[in-house]
Amino acid sequence: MKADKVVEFDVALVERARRGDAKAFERLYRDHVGRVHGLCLRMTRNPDLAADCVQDAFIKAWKALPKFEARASFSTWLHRIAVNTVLEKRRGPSNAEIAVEDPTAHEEPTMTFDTPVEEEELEAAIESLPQGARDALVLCGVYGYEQSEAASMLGIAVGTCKAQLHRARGLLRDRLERGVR
Amino acid sequence: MNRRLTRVDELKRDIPPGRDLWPAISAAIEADKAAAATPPVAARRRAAWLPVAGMAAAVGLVAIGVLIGLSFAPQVDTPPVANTPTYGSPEMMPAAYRNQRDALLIEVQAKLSSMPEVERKKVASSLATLRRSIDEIEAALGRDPANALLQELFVSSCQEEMRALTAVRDSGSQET
Amino acid sequence: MRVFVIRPVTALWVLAALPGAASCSEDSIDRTVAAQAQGEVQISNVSGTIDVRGWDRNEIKVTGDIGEDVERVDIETNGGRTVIKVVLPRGSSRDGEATLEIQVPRMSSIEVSAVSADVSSRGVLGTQRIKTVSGEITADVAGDNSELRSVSGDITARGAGKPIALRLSSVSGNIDLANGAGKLDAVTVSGDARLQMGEVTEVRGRSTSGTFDLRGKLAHSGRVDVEAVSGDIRLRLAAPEGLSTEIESFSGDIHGCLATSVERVSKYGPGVRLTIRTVESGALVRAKTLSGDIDICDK
Repeated sequence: MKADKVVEFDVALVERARRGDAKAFERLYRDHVGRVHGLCLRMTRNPDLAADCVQDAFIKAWKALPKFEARASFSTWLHRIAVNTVLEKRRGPSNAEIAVEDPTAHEEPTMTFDTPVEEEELEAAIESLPQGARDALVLCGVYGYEQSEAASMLGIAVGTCKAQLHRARGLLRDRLERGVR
Repeated sequence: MNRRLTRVDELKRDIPPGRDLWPAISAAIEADKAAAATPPVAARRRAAWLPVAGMAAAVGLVAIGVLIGLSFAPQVDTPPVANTPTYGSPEMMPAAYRNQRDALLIEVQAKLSSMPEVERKKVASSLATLRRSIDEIEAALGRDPANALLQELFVSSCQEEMRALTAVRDSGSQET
Repeated sequence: MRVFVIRPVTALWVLAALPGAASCSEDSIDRTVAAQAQGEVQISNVSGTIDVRGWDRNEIKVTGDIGEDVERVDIETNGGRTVIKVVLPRGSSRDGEATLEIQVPRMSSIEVSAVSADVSSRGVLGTQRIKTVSGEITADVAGDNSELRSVSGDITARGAGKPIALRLSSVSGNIDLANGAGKLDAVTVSGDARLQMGEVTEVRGRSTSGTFDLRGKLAHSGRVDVEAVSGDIRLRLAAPEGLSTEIESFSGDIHGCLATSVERVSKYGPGVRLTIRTVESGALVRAKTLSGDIDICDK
């Protein structure tokens, strides 16, 4: 399905969900749960905690539907809620507002390898990164968010996000060189 | 099958959870819809729970104190079994220890209030965990005062509390 | 398209510059000073990152980015001691950030102090004393009597596999150690401790509510002494010459492959213990909890 068709479909489902249609919201859940769970799992490194975060995120999303602006990306909005949920569970409630933004028009940065790396090895190396570096890499490197957006989601300064991404690249390089413990 | 990747963003973004999470979400949604359908009294009750930032800030220090079980008055212990003084009660703990702890608590309160909120909550939560564990051991000692394991855990937990409080008090002391 | 290239170890690793939303008032630092091969390096930063790397030159090189709220970075050398300090304007209420990469002579001993800055170190063979308030610590540790301490940050350490004395402590953060050996002191209140060691001479450990997980091989007279209150303790300790145990829990359970002779402490009250006596071996494992479970195996 083309990206614009997905967005149109989401918009229609969100409208119905906003009017109390739980089945429409279930469809949104089925469509988006994989990505939301992937994001939570990589940030928490804990399957049980990730499942809790996913549940809480969708429940919060349901309750916050009246605040969602139809012209924005539901996926991005949902990911923001998921990241906020992970951060809350880590450290207690954060002050970050659930802001709604239009998707940016920037190209996604990509991190490439000259020699292919095994998927399992790469996942393990990412999992072993310190929390701050891992968060930045997962949001920017894996899920393609701009640094400004990732920083906003994480409640940190853009400069900090940049620094953490820089660290992540360096540490990832080190760990792939040595083989992750 | 272990794929070989040339880009980080080739990692799969979709990782389905190990079980279907929809039933719990659905139950919460139904509960939310039911709550929304109740008369306005419920809404007023809910509104009363909305965080009021100003009030929260004003009682912040008190909340921190409550959270980590701080008290500058002598501790009120649960009634001991028979007439045996409870291990750990003010009567049993050396005055020097109590005085040192009280002084440390004042400094820790000040340090906590200068921390960013998320860090403050994390650290305060840990200190509260420690205090609760000491209370739990103390309660068990109240029922079994001669238990050597409980005595050992009590002493080491008090020592650990002092270590943690000192670490918080001294944290960032070489900052610029 | 922005591309960051990572090449394998057989070739030079090259990373394209990360295009950033850099503020036009950000500054950078690039300074090199002479240093003794086994000197001391003291580093302090409030916010941002500190990455320390050991190298083979008798020089200290400081590079990185300095945020607009940082007044300056002082670098002073006196004999064998170099002090690198990020200075914020007096009375500043904003968090000035500095992202520093510091290359030091490999045999240097380092002392790093940070508030929220994350700290990493690699390739430093001297003693390391790193402390943060909330910043995370990631360090390859080879120097004896090294110490990594944080209040709320996680600590991730990798040993060199040779026996040293190492102390890891956090109040709220997790502690992870790989490839450790020798003497270890690991303490956390609410975080988890996951410790993987080779030869264990002595381990003292404590976690109040987190899980304490230790794997290693006990030396002939090796000692392990671990306490948890509500947290669980998991011990996987190979003991070629056998081991003795003094394991007790007030209200938790004791299980694992060695838990074949768990007995109640008293007929009517709570409490279980596991006591094993192996006369030929001086190795002793003590573990105590209030309500946490204890899992012990020698495989």
